[in-house]
Amino acid sequence: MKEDYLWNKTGEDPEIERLENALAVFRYQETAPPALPAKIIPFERNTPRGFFRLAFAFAVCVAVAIISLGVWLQISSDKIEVVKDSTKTIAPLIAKKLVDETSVKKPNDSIVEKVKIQKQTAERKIIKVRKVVQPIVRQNKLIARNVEVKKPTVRLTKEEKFAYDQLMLALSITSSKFKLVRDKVEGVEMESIVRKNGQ
Amino acid sequence: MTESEMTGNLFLFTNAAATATAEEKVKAEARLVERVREGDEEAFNEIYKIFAPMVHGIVLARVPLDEASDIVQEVFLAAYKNLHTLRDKNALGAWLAMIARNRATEFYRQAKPTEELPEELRGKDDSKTEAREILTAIRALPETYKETLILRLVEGMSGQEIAERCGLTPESARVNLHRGMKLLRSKLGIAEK
Repeated sequence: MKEDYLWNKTGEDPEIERLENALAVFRYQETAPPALPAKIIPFERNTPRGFFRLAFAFAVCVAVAIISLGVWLQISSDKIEVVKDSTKTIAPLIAKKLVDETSVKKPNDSIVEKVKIQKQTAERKIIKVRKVVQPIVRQNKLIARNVEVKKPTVRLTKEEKFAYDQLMLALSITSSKFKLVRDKVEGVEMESIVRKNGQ
Repeated sequence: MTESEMTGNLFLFTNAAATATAEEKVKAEARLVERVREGDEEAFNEIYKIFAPMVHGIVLARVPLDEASDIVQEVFLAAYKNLHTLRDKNALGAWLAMIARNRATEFYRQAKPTEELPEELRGKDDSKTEAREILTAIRALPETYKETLILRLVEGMSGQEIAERCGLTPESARVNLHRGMKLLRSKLGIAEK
């Protein structure tokens, strides 16, 4: 009975009843509910969460855009530098190689002159490339006005650079040989045409 | 059917009936929350009537007597303002209890240091003096026990009501009551029968 009285007030427990009666003076006296604010607060569900989600998504988009722009700028500047380097290193090598090949075959003066002209045109082309590339870089810098563009700290290693130069050299030699062959063929054709015309 | 089987069946029936009533009450409270969210002040007054004794008991377990009623009002005002943050409409009681506890803690952060009146200046009301002594003894009990005991002995709520209002399970409310009562008896020097 004792435990029942404590739990659901059934039965009797004079000790607990005495405590109850003594403490009844502190019991809650019914009062009017508090005056509510005049303006009823809108009960929007999950408003702060939604706002933070949107803000987070926006921040992520901005971060991705900035990173991709930075990467793109870095890649483009790397390409430009490689082209610049190749103009310095490859042009003299091509010229030297061409001169050597022509000297081995003991060509006549016209062929040497043709090679010289080709060398000059090759240099001009490289210069043209440089001139074309520079405005693009300027444009990129203008677009990314507020973005701090870091200059690439990691560049090609010496071995990589050497390999790249070797490749470019091989390509240029092949192209020059092709040109020589083409010129010879054209020259032979021209001679035959001249002979035919002469006859 | 034997007597024990009959008693067992009766217990199960009573238990199921109590659970069903509790569920209905919770649903009714959830409906009240919805109504308040829609701007119904009458529904808020109903919530106040249902939960004010529970909030008063929780506050009384922590703050001085004179401050309790003011803090109860503050608790309900804060609840009204922040009702949109209540995720589980069925847990209104537990949510209000949490606000009440937080407010009581806040009271001690903001309150200026005060001293209680000495015994001779309080007046000679023996019944109140005894009541104060009992209340002081209850307040000295651990957190979980003092809250449940005040709700039972001061506010006159039954164990089932305490469990429903505070969002406790009936088992834990029962344990808190009995352990708390045991501690209080030993504090007041009342021998267990």
